[in-house]
Amino acid sequence: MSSVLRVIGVTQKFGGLKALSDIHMHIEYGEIVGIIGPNGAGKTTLFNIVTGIYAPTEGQIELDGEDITGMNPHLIARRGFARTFQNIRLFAKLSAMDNVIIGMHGHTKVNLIDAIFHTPRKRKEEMECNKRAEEILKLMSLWDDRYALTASLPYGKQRRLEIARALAANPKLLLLDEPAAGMNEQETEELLHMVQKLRNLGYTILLIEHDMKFVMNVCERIYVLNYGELLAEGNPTTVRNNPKVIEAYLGKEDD
Amino acid sequence: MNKILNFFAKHMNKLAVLLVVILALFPLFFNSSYVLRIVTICMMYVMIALSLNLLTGFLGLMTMGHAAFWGIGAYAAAILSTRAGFGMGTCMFAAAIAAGLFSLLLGLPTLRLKGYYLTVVTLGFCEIIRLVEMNSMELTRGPLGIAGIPSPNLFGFRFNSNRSVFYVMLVLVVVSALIIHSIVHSRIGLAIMSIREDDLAASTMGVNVFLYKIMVFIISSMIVGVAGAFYAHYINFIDPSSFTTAASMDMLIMAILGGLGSIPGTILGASILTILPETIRAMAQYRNLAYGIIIVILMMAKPDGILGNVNFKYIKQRLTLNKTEAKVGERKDE
Repeated sequence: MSSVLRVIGVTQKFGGLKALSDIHMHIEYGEIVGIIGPNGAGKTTLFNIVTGIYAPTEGQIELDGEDITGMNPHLIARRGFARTFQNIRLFAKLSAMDNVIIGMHGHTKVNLIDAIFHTPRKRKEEMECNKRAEEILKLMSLWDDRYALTASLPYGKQRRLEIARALAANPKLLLLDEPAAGMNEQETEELLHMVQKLRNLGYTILLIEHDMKFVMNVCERIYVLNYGELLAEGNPTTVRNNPKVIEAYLGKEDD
Repeated sequence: MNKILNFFAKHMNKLAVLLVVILALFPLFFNSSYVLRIVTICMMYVMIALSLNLLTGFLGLMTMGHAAFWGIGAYAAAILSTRAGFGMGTCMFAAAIAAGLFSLLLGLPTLRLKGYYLTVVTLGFCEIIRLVEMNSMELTRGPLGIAGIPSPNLFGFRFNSNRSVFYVMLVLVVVSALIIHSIVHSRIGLAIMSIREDDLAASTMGVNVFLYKIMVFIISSMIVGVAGAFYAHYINFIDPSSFTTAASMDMLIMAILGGLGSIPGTILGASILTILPETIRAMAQYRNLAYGIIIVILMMAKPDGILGNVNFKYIKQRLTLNKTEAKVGERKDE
């Protein structure tokens, strides 16, 4: 079986700035992998390349063995990558339920004619969507807030809703960009359980996170980025003891 | 205020049917051609504002060229009916196709633009179309306009009376409202609104942003094109001075006053802005002043329109939710 994601020699330049250089990476089905690194290391840029928001300057992205380099974001999404954003990007004036249903967009098929004439196909699909949305919202403990406007939800719930929206796409790989950012200790703890629950349900997850405790607890493998270069790779213990990583985070010892 | 909104949310379907019934009975009680004319024109503007609201309110594309497509529809109908002798049905169909084709041609290169750029392009497009109407003597007879457009007729039957024309317009406005309502309340509508809220996030959820923009642009133009064809047949005479940027602005003001992204709001906004000037006709010279005052007050009190940001679907859902919760609570008490 091929890797769900393979990043092959990806380089990204913005004008003269090299945001990423020659990154190699692979994610296997069922894994939870973390990407860490100081601010500006290129983590989010990598996410943007993988989900098709940028086309890489050089290199190749493979999804399940298929080359998806430079493909439009909506096509990549339909092939199985779903993501969340560092600064929450929900559809603010829509309800939590509708946000989740939009997450299913790539898998639903009702066309304009069905919509205008309310065909049985449309009604059937709508019921299926509602049912699936119910499952997901209950899984993320958001069912009670299903009709609330997204903008009115508290921060922690908005974070969870973004994950719920991504789950609705039934993704092969779930990409979480700093899911614990801005959360207090208790919320982070809840999120940790949530991610573990998702792993047990069989989801493959790639996440960017600054909260070390979170990453070390939840990830099986970690990639460390620094100034756009891959610094280290391995399980939490190896990464934690890697002198290069310590240097990047804490600075060089002078003596 | 909340109670009123709750009431409307609960009975929206019934109220919509009631409104249509009242309108259907209206000509039986009011026979004054003046009153019928105002209501007919009002319904036409509701249709136009609804089509614009689909584009600006639900998809979030600010356009100032909507009158151009209205004009394209009107000219298509006028030319075909005066030169080729086609009936109104065929002309309306042709008007929709013509407006749709022009919107496709304009949309393909420009819909990748965002925000103000698109607004400026549509503003320019409206002006170009007006200049073409003004100068292409052979096709449009320029500033002389096209006169003698036959009154609305269908299958050889002529709608000569004000009453019968009223019913033609009623059917048109109800059909376009139903089409727009169905689109908005489907997965396509959700996708459209997700583009308005955040197009990048929408695309990473599998929404083909460009395709939906083109689609909505075409549908909106087709509806306004049909309204243009009706206008041509109704007024019997058209000239380029009707289809200016100022007309586009009026349409936009109707949609904004009622509330962007709200179908009941649009009906309200377009009705207020067509009926109000008639009721204060004695002070006709102050009409623009009144417009200005209304807009200023609105922008201060409720910047997103009378029913902007009011989503009756969600209000209704929340009401039913509260009810079931109350029931569950009662059972627990027992």
